[in-house]
Amino acid sequence: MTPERFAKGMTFDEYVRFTGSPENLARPGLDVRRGGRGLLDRRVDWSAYFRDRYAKARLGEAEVAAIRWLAAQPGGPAKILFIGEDWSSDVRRDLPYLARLAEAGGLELRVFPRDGATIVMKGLPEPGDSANADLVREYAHEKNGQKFATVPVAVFYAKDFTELYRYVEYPAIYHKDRIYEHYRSARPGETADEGRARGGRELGVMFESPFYDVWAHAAIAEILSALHERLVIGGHRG
Amino acid sequence: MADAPVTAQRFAKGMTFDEYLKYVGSPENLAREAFGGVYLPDGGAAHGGPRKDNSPIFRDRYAKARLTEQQTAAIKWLAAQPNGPAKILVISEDWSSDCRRDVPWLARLAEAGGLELRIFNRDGSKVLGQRRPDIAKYPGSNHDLMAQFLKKDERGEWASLPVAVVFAKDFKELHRYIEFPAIYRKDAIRAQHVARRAGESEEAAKKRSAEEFLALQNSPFFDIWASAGIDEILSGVHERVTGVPR
Repeated sequence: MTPERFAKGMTFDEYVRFTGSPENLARPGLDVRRGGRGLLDRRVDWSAYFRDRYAKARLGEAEVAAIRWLAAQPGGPAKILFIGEDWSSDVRRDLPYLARLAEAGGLELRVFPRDGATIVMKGLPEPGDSANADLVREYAHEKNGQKFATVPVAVFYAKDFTELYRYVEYPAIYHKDRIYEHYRSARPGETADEGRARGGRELGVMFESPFYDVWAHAAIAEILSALHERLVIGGHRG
Repeated sequence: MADAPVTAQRFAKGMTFDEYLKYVGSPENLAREAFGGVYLPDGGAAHGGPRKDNSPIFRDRYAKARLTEQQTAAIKWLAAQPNGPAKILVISEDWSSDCRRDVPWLARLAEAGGLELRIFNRDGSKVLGQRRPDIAKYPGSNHDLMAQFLKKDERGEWASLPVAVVFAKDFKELHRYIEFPAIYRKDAIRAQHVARRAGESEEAAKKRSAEEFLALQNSPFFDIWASAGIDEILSGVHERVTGVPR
């Protein structure tokens, strides 16, 4: 990562405006709440939702004190690179809280969309496929020996762009795969499609529940804890 | 030792948080042996030592503990579900920093959700000097309860503290939380504290390590981990109540 590349990202305000722009809305999207594969030709406008979540996102006293302490340490966090897409419930959950974290600690946040004109549905984009394919490939999530273009990715850097920590997708306590599978599995008397449609609606309700914010705070705690560990004991988390 | 389920009668013998606060500063508690600051070679047991009055720390932490709006809403929602959480059993010893961190927050969680909280000492007059509880060897302890909720990992099983077990009204277990949230990598942090620095005497390292650990307990990270413990419990109970297979 270079200062020049980092500077090409959007601030949180710029990103929120972008999500409601004709340019963004013309791109294909996803919506898990709709059942099926959830593919959309045109995106839902999430800009008002982002603004509302940001307005309501509150860090606790300890979270604010912790990021300020970390940012004041030699080699402490100074910048956050965020790769995301507005159709992702994980992005919508975490980004407003990361914007609050960046503000509280005086960190610079820059947001980069993952996709170009098409959605990356499997694996990684080819270099040059989209404006940020280089970043997506660099910060790919590796799971079970395979690489994925998972969102969100939030990379924390020191002032000199030394990477301190990388947060990927969701906090460890949110067992998303198991929860999704449970919600979207067909119940007795339901077809598979009916199960996915009902499950999609139920997930939509879950995204509006207090647990969504419990997991947003859990992500912040995970990040603060890992940064503390990196600065205090110097090691990478296993 | 038989692993009997927790009964209403056994649960009722625990202390409320207010009773526990009073008890922690009482002559009866202060006369009991505490953790003496040194672990035995097997890593799961401790040497005994004198107990200091930790009740002001518990009171202060309870006064300052604040659940987030969403943690409060989440526990209320969970408690309102059929077979939702109704009781929390806690096993604690006041000499444990993990207990001082979490127990006041667990009291706040119980209050917010209208759950009944009961606290049990782990030990009797002597601190547990081995990995596994043994009520015959340690009379006056709650080792019968402790034996049901041992911490288990690749190193084996041991009687770690605190234990917080969340039950439905009928004492069906919904979730168990032990020692610290997963994001607090205490062993790695403590190993860094206790490691001797270049040119440091053993005595100086011990003093510095104790100071660093105390500073950590007074830092904002201690509350980050307390709140993370609550998040872990809420998330675990949510999965259980909504029927997500384990």
